[in-house]
Amino acid sequence: MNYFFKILQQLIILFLIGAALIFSACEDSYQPSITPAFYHWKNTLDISNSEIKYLSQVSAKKVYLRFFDIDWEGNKAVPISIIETKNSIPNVLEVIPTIFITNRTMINVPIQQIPDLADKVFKKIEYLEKGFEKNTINEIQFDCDWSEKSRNQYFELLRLLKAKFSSQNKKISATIRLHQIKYFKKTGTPPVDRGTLMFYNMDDIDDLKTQNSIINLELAQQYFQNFDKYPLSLDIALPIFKWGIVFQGDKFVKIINNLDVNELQDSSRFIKIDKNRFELVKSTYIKGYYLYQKDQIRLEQVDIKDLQKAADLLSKIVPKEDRSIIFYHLDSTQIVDYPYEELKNIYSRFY
Amino acid sequence: MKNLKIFTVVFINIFLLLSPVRIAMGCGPDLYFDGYSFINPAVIDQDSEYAPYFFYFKDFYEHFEKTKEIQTRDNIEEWNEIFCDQVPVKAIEDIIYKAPLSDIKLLRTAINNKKYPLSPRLKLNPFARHLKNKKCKNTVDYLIFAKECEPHVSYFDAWGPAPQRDTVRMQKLIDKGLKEFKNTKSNYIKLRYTYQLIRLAHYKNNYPQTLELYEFLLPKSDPVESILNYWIMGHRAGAMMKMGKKVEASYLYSLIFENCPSKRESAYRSFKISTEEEWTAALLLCQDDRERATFYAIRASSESSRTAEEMEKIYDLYPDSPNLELLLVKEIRKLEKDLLGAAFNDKTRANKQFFGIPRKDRGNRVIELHKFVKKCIDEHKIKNAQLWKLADGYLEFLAGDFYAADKTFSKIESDIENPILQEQLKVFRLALKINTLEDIDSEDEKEIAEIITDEPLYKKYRDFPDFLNDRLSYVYKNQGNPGKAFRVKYPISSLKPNPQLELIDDLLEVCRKEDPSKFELALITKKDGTTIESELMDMKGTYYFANGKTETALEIFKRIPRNDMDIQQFNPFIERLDPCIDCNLPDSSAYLNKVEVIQRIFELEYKAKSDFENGATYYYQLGTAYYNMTYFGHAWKVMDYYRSGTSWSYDKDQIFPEYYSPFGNKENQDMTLALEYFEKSRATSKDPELAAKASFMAARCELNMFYTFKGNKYSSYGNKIPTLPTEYRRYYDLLNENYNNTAFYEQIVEECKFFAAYARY
Repeated sequence: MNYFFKILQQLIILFLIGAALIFSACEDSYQPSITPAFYHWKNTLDISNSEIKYLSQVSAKKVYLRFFDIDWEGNKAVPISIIETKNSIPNVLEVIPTIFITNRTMINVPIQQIPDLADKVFKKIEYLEKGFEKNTINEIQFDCDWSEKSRNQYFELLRLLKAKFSSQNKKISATIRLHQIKYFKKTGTPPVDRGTLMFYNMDDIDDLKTQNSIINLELAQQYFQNFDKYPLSLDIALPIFKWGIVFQGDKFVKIINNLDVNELQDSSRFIKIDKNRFELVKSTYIKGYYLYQKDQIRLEQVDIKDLQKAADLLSKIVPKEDRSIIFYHLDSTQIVDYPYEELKNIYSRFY
Repeated sequence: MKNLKIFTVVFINIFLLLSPVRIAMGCGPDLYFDGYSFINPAVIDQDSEYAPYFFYFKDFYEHFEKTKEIQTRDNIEEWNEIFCDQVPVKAIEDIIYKAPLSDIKLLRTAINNKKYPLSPRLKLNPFARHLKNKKCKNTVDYLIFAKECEPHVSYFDAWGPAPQRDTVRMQKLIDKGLKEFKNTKSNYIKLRYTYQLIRLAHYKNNYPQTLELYEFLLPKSDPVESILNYWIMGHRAGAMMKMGKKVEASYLYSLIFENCPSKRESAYRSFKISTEEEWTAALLLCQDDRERATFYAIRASSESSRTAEEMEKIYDLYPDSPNLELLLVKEIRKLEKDLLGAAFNDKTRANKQFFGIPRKDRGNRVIELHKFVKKCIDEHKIKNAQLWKLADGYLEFLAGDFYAADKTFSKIESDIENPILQEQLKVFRLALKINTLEDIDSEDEKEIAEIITDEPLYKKYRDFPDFLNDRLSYVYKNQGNPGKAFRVKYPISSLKPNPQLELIDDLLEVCRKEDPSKFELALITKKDGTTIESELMDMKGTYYFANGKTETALEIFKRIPRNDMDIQQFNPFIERLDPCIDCNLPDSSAYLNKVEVIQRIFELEYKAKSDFENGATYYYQLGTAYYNMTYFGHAWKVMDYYRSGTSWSYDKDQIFPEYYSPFGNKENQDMTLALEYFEKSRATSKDPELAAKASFMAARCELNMFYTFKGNKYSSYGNKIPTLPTEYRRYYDLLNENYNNTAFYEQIVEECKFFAAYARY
């Protein structure tokens, strides 16, 4: 009898071990599909050979192409910065038309005018899509940093656009800020098919004391809540850009895009006052902007290590599922700082 | 049970109220800068062509609308001038901007052949009649040509498809225009053709052709003074810019900026100098110092310019520049935001947080500008010395040297002749007077009252009331009159959400003054002519009542006239097991004023202590009354004036932010007394049913205490019934353990799902 129980005991143990192995194997064997992608955020589509090569080297499958912005001008919503195309996106790449809407537009537009606006936006995208007939277009993305005052209008616009695009079998997505996930019960969830978490521009750009407004992982982690409960599947946008923030006294003045530290090495014009801060010794032009003596420039950029850490942190908190990892943004002058192997390594952390 | 729903709604609202800190860059808060300004843009020459540019520029889109208007107006005025003011401008506008091509063609036919009448629309138009009568064939031919060109050069609907310019048709029009140019004698009409042809070439994106046409056509007619010269220049500059001739194009844009108001905005936006080398090269193209000064004026127009530095350069080159006055006023307006009333503007913190104002370097900026203004006055080179002298005094004022400012204002008083500048001086002096108010006594108050009621400038300049009230509030507070300090800025109703004793007493003192000043009377008198004394007394009594000082409260309430006391009536003694705040009480309910409520409380307390047989019932009634008078009861108005549906739990001793009350809204959520009386009722009751009921109400008190304790993390999201910690569920446990065989227990488990959930534990 004892022998029988021993055998039974061993069988049970074996069964449990086996079951555990099977389940853990199931768990490990699920490898989500990660789609590398880029934002193209310029007024003119004039994609260079080096950019095309880079897209291929990173194995990018999609380009989120800014089609136009919508702003509030002269008491009405108008499309501005409409894309001009000098060349095209390689046919193998899927294009996601992306529309940036200023929050003031959504604050000002009366709710009864939203159907008309939805209609105009839908048609405008249709017109512009004609330039990309050789590319697949399955999704349209809307980018608006909505606030409590604009939420109703924005969500209504998205709801109407979703219905319109679904008739063409197209999905719509919206950009999501980090705080909108932590506080999603308060901020609401946009009525779209997917979200794209913008994992950048997270600290206060206007504040002279801020070290790097593009990325601050310590601050970001304070918002790592509710990812498991967030109702939308999320793609993730990661920053690959740099800029200079100009201050006069303690007042934010302007952003100089793509400003490199090498451009501030002329000691007759600039003096380094801190790790990433420079002061103007005399009034001068820089990247087309005229700055004045004593103005300060805070250089901000995202290095590979920041991106790796960001990917590691995010990959632990987002559910394991298929998603796009989108790099913001494709610019031949910026991508030199981000070797393609490194970007591959970064998105592979989400597998 | 309804209370769960109420709790849920309240919690959701709280959730919505607590705004999370934003982590992503956005468009910023929907706020407005809150400060003062007393400089009147009218001090600049009203005929100045630059004024709209500087004063509307801030809001580009508003300005954009205006530039289009200016362009239309200028064009019509020029046509009017050409026709020697013989026809109304409205008639010209109708022909140029509204009449369809077909009408103009009919007009042309009518000129050729008398038999053909004008179209009914044009018959009534004096300009059309004039063109017909004077047989202005060339002009009408030109108008036809211009209307033919229009569809090819007009703006398209940005929501529509991108325009497909018909370049073949456009070229044909250029060919036609060239022929008509040759056939035209009038230099003015030739200039108009030149404009149309160059514009067509530009819109055709043929930039070399644009420049060739310019070179070809311009020498072929005598120069004519016209705004068209600058319109043509704009297209020429645009073509040059596209062809990479940035410096030359920017130079042309600077000329347009300086000389053509209707195109100033677009010239500013198109002006592109990116390096020191380009700047130097562009300056070399300038014909004289006036043109060079314009370059600095353009650079000074940027929001982030250091205006004083650029003004110095303009002044050195061309002291007569009208840009100097505009930049002076523009910079003073910025400094007003930084400095005016900074000591007493209570929105300073928000201004700093949301707008970065005041700027850190404001001190240096005002000193720099003041130094420059002094230099301009001393050197006598500037055009409008009176304005600069006025600015001298005002900058002293802004820099905080009030004595010097006053002296300067007195000194220049007799020099200023211009009525607008005279008014500006008076305004500055009034602002200075208010700014320097100290130790306010009844004489000062008399003067303040006169300013408010009799001074027309106080009414005309909309920032004066705020400026005065903020200053008074600041001074009153410093001199120990917190009530007056409050009252000059807020209505008495703003004190009610969270009454402050110190303020109430200060205002009561004013109410009881034998000989209050006119200004003090204004502070304490209501629209119906009565004073706010009864309201203040009611607030004071209510404050004491809500803080457990019932006897003091009664004494205060008794001093309020009966008529005033009876305005508010309640009955907190009516029991409602269903905790509905806004439901009507039974029709038969008797209502009591606050004096009667307290007297009834005293009576019940006496009975509870003396009548051992029914003591438990009286304690229960007292518990009920105190419960009902809290935030959670239907008679909350006995102890409070304002109840926010979103207030529930907060970490500031039950004080919630309230936009119209500077002290916030204090909710009366203290359940201590109600709980104490329900406990006494339960403990002394011989009737298990009453004891069960008292336990249930005590349990409800504890639940409210749980909801409102500091740092509570409970979220009502999803209608979840909270898991109560042991210290907040003593009475639910007691009810379950000791009174589960009572009829009340059965009833409450049946009716109250909320309690039933606890009963199941």
